[in-house]
Amino acid sequence: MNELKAPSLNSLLGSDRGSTDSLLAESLIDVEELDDVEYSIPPPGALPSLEKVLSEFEEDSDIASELGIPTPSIAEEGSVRMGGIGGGGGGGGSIMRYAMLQGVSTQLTSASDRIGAGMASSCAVCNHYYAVGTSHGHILNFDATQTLRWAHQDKNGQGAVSSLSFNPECNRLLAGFARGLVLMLDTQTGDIMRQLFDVVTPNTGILHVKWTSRPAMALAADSGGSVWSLSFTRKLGVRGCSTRCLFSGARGEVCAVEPLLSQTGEHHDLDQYCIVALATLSKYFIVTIRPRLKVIKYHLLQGPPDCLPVLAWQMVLIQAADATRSVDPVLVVGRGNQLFFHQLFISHGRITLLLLRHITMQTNILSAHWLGPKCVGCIDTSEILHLLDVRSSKELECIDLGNASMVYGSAQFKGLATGGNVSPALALAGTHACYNSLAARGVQLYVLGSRSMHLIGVRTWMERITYLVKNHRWQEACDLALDGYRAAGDRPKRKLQAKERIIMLFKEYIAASARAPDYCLGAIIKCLIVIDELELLWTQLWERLQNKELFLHHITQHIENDDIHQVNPIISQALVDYWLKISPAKLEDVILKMDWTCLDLNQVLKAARKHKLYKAQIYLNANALHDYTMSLTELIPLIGSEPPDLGNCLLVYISSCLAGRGYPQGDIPEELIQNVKHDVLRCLTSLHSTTSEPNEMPYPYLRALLKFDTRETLNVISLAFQEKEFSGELGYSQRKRIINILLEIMTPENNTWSEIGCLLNFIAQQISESCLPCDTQLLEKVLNYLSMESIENESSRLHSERENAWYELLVNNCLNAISNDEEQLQLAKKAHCYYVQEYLLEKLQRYDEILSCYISNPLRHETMFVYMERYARETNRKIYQQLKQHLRKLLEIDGKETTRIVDLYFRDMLEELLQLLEDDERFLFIFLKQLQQRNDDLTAEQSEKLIKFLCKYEPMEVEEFLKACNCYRIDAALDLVMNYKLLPAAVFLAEKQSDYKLAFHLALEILKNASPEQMEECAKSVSALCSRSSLSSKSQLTEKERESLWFELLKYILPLENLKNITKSMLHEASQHVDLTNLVQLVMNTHNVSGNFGDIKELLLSMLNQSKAETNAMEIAMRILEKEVAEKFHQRKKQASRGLLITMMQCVVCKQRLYNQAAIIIVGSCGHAMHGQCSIEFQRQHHMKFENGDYDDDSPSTSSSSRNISQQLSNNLMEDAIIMQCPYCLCCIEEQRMAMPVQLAKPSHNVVNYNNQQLQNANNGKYANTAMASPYKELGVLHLKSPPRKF
Amino acid sequence: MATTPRSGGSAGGGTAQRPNGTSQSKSCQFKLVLLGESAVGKSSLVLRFVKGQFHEYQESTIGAAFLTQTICIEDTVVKFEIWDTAGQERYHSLAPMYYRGAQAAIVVYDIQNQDSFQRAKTWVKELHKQASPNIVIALAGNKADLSNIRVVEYEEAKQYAEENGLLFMETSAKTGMNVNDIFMAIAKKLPKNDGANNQGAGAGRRLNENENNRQTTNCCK
Repeated sequence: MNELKAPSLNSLLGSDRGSTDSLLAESLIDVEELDDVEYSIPPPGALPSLEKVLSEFEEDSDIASELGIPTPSIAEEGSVRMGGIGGGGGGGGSIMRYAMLQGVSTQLTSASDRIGAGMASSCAVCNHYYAVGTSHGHILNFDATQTLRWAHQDKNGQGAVSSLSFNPECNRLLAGFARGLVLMLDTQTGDIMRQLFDVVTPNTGILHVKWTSRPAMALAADSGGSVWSLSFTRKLGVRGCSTRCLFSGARGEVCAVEPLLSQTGEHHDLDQYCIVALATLSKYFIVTIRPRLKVIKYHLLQGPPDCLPVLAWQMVLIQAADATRSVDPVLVVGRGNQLFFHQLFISHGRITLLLLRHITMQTNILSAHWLGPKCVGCIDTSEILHLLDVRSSKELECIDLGNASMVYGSAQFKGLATGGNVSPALALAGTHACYNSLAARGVQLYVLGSRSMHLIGVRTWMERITYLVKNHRWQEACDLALDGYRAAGDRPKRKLQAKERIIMLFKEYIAASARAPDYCLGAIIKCLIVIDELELLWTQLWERLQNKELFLHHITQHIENDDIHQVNPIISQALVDYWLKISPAKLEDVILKMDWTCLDLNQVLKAARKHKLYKAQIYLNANALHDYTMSLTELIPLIGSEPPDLGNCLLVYISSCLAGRGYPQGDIPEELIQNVKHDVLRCLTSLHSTTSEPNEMPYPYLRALLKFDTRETLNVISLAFQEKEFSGELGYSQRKRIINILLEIMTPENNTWSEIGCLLNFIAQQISESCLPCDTQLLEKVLNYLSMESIENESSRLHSERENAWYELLVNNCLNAISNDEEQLQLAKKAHCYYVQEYLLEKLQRYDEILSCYISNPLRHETMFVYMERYARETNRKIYQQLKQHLRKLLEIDGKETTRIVDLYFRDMLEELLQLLEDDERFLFIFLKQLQQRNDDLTAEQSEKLIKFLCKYEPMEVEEFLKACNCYRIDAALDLVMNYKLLPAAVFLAEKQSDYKLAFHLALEILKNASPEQMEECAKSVSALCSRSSLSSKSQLTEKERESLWFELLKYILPLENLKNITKSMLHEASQHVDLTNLVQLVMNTHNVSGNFGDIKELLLSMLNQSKAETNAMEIAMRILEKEVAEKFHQRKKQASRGLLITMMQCVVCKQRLYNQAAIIIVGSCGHAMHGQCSIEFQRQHHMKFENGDYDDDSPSTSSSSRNISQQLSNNLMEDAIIMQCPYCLCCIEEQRMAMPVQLAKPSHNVVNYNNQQLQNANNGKYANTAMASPYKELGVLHLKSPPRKF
Repeated sequence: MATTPRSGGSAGGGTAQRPNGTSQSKSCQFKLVLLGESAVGKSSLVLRFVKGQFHEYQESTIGAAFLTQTICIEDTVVKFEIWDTAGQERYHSLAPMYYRGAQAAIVVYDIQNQDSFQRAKTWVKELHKQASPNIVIALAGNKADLSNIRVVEYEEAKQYAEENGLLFMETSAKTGMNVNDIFMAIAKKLPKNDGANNQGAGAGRRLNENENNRQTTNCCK
């Protein structure tokens, strides 16, 4: 089925016109060829559907979807390519396909030229028809073959056709006009079914007409931003329409309308609802219209004001995180450069919207259309169509639609036909409106140009391969094919389909690459290997190649990567020949990776012998020929003359044979293991070689191996001994036999002692593991070796191995039979086997010598301290005695550890130990130093002694030590240091003693003696010392003395040429501490500087600057002070002149009414007041509280710090911080108010009477004069706005 | 594998500009194995057949050697993939690996050596028992140029061959006598339409043969 389609597909796409010419033209010819009479051309309704004719090449994908062909997410196909910009189908990208609908375009052109239909303004596409509306109100309807079926001309002067829409059954076409008319036409005949003039807001144009999922219902959106539902009725045969406003433009103008139509035939829960997505310039809504009007969800949608929102629905297979799959509608909402994807589904009986994804684009988009369930096509403001893969959010390809001269619906959005009565926002946003000039159907996007119509299709996997093949882009085609194959995963049907496609690709390759078969060979080989069609590789491809080397290279690579193990024998022969020529070593690697059954053994083994490919030889002998000893008999005699690789190889081989493992990997077949082990062992231990040369030494194979590498050979044997063949009674005797053979081979005449040592160690090990039957003779032999006093060229490794072996024997009591511990001890002493000695002493409980064993054995030093620590408290171990005895050695080994142990356990004996070391300064020094570092609690004498040693041995450390430590007497230390002439330390000590003069002189001395490089550093430290001396309170120096210090320093420094660059900073430093005049004097007098004004210029300038800055600061401070005083004054004045009013006619203290003519105190701006008597009580309480100290400083007036500052600034204006608070509202009360009671007027009066004492001021009106009363009195003025109601 | 002829057909959409499009013959590929005692002349026989050469002192084969030769019979190209096994006793365990998938076998003996004839009989027995039931077996009495010192009589062998349904010829690798003939005889006896093997040059040919070729059954190896 598939392959029957393929040729026609090929011819379709392979034709020369394929890229530019319409596919429809092809099918058109087919139709023309039909004989009308014979076939009786079917009525228009029964025409082949557009689907069928237009996208015949889609058959592949249709079948694919039926069969579940791998249609991987396009991004996963691994060939994300940019390009295709240029509008032609021949561009670089393989995903998008461009075609121009020639038939439609021709008709459009002629319509506009001949009948004055104007430019195209809107279009619609369904399965059988295309409809195009023009700016002069013409509607052209084309069928699937692009033949014009009918044309309709609007006679009502309704302006341009602004929107068109086919119903899902394709038998009705709705057309909206720029002046508000909506027409319903029969798609077959073009008859007008309904003519609806006033279904939308009067005097507005139609922006959208859309059919909904209900057959008799459509939506219309007008330029006023309202949305109307049109329900078509047919009462008594009369067609009618009832219209209803769903959404008024007054509440925000709807720009985009997109009803959800069920695209698949399958049932979906949402089918029962009639759902529409609407978008305004600020929000988008999901609305159900039927069964009842309801907003399901709305979201804000922000974006630039000149961008319209875009909406598109698509049914998408969604795999949830919990692996459940569902097919649900997904809405893409876009505005500006943002795209949001929402899934709509029913959960618990409610329609739910779920945000799936958010994509941000590079540019602002004009449209978004689904092109299949995986891709969205977006046209951006520069008319470039971007294809996005939704799952990966990646851009797959883009194509420039600049040549299409796309139609924009801005005229409708600006309402030009209706007098422009649209909102400015809508008009601005509608500049790039292209809702009605783009239509998506399936994986195709139709773009309406002003005189043409274009088609952009998305190719499926199969089509893309075909396309790439057609363009001979084999590499990409292979990659794509493989990606598709891999994406098929473990779905067998899909995999088979993909495999067939790849095989077809291969055939196409073979057919196309006849002339240059090497082109892209690697990709093709990889393809075949991945899909496991090796036969094709070996036969068809191989036979076709002229230059086989490339092929062999590729195959080799795949073998090395373990992609294949089996090749055709013909290839393997060629491969072997080829690599023999180029690189036999590589051949060996390849052979080891290959399955031997495909090799020409005769050829390979002969080559291996010739080229000494031992590994390959061993591998093939063992695996192919099942002869495990042949490698040994052939190769062991060669060990001596060959590089060591061979020997190592053989050892590995023997070891793996004896362990039952295959070489180089894998396992020996179960049934062979026994034989193999036996054979190999027998071969190794055979007395004579197969050739049995006349003067051959016995056991030639084992001998050769031992000679090659004794240690490793013995390791191999000991590994073999762990196998079960060597356990049990029989196994032990087997072991013994082998050991005897080994002993026979290894004689002092033929071997070095170290080799024999290895063997004897090995035997000792075997004995101690009690794996060998006890044999006194053998034991004696071993012991003789072990206790040898000195062995020539014995390495430390060997020695420790010897010791270990001996130790093991002792631990396992193997030597009891021939000797006792005492003898052993003597032997060990002689043989310098301290470890053994140590063990024996321990065993004999002769502890007093153990430490010396430890000391003599450098490997055990660390353990020694652990040992000492563990037994330090046990007197019978005599640790202290031994420690005392070996103290020097111990200190030499590790002073720190030794000191630690002494300090921890033998602190009482410290004096004794120190005494002991008295005559050896070096150890004493170490000891003291460690003690000091440990505890820092030395006595003064001890630390002085330490200082002395430090001075002597590590003079660099002295200063550090002096700084860190405090337990010495300063004068004694100073003497010591001076003795050793360690001036820096002395300076430090002198300063510590506060003897700055001495310190300074010493420091100056250092400076004088310093090398030129250090001078600067020294000078800095001296000046630092000087400034410390000047600042320090402890220094008893007088002003004069300090200056003299500075001057002395400067006098020395200034003339020095090499200190020029610090002179300045030095002077600056000094200027802070000495009299500046003197300093200038000094500078002037220094003859070196006199010539150079530059140096003092800075100094003088800085002096001037400083003085200027100080003056400035002074002035500013004065100004600020004055300003603050003035402000304070002003504030006070304002406060004082403010009137007070009472808002609550109740005393805040006693809660009694206020109008009983007593004196009252108004507490402040809060409007509360209290009686005079009450205020006295209140004040008293307040003061008490303040004195008790629980007065918190959280008063709202000022924080304490700011108050401190202001107090400093204005002591007079600010009273002390006793702040009282109104008991009612916590508003703070100013002190002076308490002193100013007022009297309330008589109840009948509105205006206040003033207090007697202030009557004199009554003439001044309500204001009180604050400035004139020196005890700071203020007039409280009560001003009642309106009398209290109770009066 | 079953898909190859089919997809081959669909690739026919390609072109007719194939280099070997002129070849009208069918092509088959057969696996053939040589068995027999050591030093009876198996390798020499193959060498004569494949390269037309003869070495008096042919090295003994290790394991097995692989050679190919293509011959034409009528309109069919027959490609032999020949596994020349080693005769030495120690390689006997290898033999099943090679004759298991073989369509044809030549059992060789030396007419001067009775033991080798007996050995040949055991091989035939083993083949009958172990190899594929359709295997074409030929018995070759080699070194026929030395027939004056023969030990195994022609009739004896002939009779044995007839009893067991074997092709039989006395051959001489040295002179080339009957060497090609025995291979030709085997090729003729082999079923030519055995699908699994008609690949190779086939793809090019089938372009012109078109549809009817698709019906060829695809028997898997």
